[in-house]
Amino acid sequence: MTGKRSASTIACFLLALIVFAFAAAAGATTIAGHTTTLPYFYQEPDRNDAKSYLPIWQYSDFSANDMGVTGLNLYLYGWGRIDTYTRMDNDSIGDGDLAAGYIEYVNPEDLVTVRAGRQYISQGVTSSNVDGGYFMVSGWGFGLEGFGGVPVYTDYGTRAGDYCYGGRLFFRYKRYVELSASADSFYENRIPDNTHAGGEFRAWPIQQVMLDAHYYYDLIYNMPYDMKGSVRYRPIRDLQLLASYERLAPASMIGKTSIFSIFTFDNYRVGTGSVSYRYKERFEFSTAFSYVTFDDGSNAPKVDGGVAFFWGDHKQDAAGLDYRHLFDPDRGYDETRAYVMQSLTKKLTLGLDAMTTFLSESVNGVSTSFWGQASLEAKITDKFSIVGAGSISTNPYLTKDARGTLKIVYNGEHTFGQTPAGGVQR
Amino acid sequence: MNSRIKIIIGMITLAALIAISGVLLADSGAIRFSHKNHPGPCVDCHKEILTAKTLVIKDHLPKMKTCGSCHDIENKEQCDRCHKFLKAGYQAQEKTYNFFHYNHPKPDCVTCHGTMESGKKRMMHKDCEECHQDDIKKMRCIKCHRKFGTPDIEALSGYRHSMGYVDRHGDDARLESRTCVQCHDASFCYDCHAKRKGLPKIEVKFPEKLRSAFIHRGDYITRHMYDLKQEPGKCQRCHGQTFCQDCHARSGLTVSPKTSFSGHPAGWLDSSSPNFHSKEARRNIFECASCHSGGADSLCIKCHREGGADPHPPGFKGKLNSQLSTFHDNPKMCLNCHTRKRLCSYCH
Repeated sequence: MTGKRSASTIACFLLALIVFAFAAAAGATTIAGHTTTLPYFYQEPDRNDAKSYLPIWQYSDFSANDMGVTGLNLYLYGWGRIDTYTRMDNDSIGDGDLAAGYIEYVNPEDLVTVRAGRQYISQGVTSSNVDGGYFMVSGWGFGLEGFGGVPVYTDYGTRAGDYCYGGRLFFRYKRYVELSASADSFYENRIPDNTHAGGEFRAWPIQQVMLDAHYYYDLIYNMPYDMKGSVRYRPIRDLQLLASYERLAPASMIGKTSIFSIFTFDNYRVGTGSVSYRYKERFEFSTAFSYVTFDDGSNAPKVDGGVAFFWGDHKQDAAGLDYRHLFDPDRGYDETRAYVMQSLTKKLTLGLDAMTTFLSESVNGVSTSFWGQASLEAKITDKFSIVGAGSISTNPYLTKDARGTLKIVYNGEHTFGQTPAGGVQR
Repeated sequence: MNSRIKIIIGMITLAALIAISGVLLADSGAIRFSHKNHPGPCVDCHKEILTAKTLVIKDHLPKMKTCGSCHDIENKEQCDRCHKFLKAGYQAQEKTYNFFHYNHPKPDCVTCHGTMESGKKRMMHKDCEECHQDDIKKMRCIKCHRKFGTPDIEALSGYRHSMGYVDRHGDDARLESRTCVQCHDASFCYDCHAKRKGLPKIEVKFPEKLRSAFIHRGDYITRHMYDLKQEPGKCQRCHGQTFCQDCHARSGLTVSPKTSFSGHPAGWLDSSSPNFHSKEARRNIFECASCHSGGADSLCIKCHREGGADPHPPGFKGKLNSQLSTFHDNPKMCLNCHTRKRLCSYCH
């Protein structure tokens, strides 16, 4: 984390805390907090000796709703890490960041949304973390949303001269048809890195059928980079059939300012079909087949499948078998997985999970890997739980691997006074 | 003190404060009650129900002094007759609907709740559907349902999370994120979509969620290079440029003076060989960059410098005019191989 980024993160975090304190004082109707403490032990072998690590992660999120005004909400989500044994990063003994921190206003009819702070923007062509502002206004079927700010990059770089903006105009017909056009532009050090524009379409002509399509164009490379169309069909309630086709251009995902982007021009297409079926909430079957074809003619088909059985308290007591096969005689694999979750008592749940992978090639004379995990979840109260988990694995690259964690979770929520009528709850 | 340590200490302190406040603010109390045994006009007890604009359930119920008109509330020995679990304490009932009587006017209480003699009638979903058809079609469940975490509701909806939903959830999220937040807390998105470096993979945070469709479950190290080759774009959507190299460097897999590791097949540098590197590099330069630190800066230009092998993709020159302004503003890429003097001389 650079000094500049570190300073901006701390400033953002402190500002959010001040607003949070203000929220409590202003009489928010609901204040909720969720924390997860996660000590995690693992070994990461290198060539000469096996290093052991014991980082402790702390995740915390807080939200305050209806802070004096209906729909005025605050949300914070941050994490921190301390390396208690071996440092994961030689430069420091820990790390931390504010993953999200924003204040928003959503009017009671959900027709206006305004948000400011660190947030994840998911609208049309845009899917990105941004420090900045967002708005959405809608009425009479039409809507407009837009954002602007500084992009939060995944794992590298300084932010000097970085900025971004974008928007989406949409129209919804009363039953359920949505048409929209969206565009965004991202700059790195004042140089255009990504500039995209496109459109989306969704229709639900009858209850059983849902149609989806989008077409996104890269205005820097002057080529379509992400196109997709799909049909979801449910002839009966518990059966869903899906077919989709998409075309992707990886160069556009990398970003223009990356040196790698000039080399990556082999686009590819993916055709996918899937079927899923549930029987009386006791049995579930799913399978999917996807066929990837690159522009040079090579292809990479893949099939996934799985069955699951449920008993007792649905979703808690379950067992399943999953299978995946990647078709490639040289570099493919078969993956099998079996798992079971069983309530031992009202508060204790045991989980067992095992995966075996059979590689089509032999690496270091080995072509099989195994991974197994056991977990025990104790729900001490409705708000407080502890999970212990341990796993072992062997594979052609790491001789043997053992990992363990003890997760402590607290979920708190309190409602003060009254919730104004018609308030949109998040 | 290091600023990051300050952040961590601050977060732990806040976590502790939340935990303590949760314990202090926890509600308690439950009443043993049946409408069958309490005949009379509803509003005699529920005095404010027709005008109430609060969702706090205890505000809709009669106060103890109302009970005192018939019961001897001063007799401490009879507390257990009405108050359940008085000694052990219990979890307060939570109102789970955004429902107000004042904006659902009916001629009388019996229409929805049945008669006192027949017992309390439970309102069913179909009772609401007549008026709320549009909300149901649009999956605006949160308009009525305050808590909407019912596990199987996704199975009944058009947003069924069947196999492969992780790959296609973006189709729903980019248009209907408001539908997603009805069941998922905001942290649900941020667990994957927030800045990731420094965080463990999501499967580590949720080891007990065996039913979740995690992408990197188990020993993903064994499988990751096969998935990368099968569909490189899928990895690039989330992982940045240095992601691979960082991990490979820590694992001793990066080419360096200390290691002699090479995963290249025979004929990798032989242009007449079917294993020649150009095809793989064109399709997935990330696989090269995952071992060769600095990618093009340190490795490719050894051969691909100006006057050497041409790394440009087919049709590059044809597209140059349309992209000229971009290259003009950002010649950084070009200058890796071309000298500035020669590069400018092509046009000027």
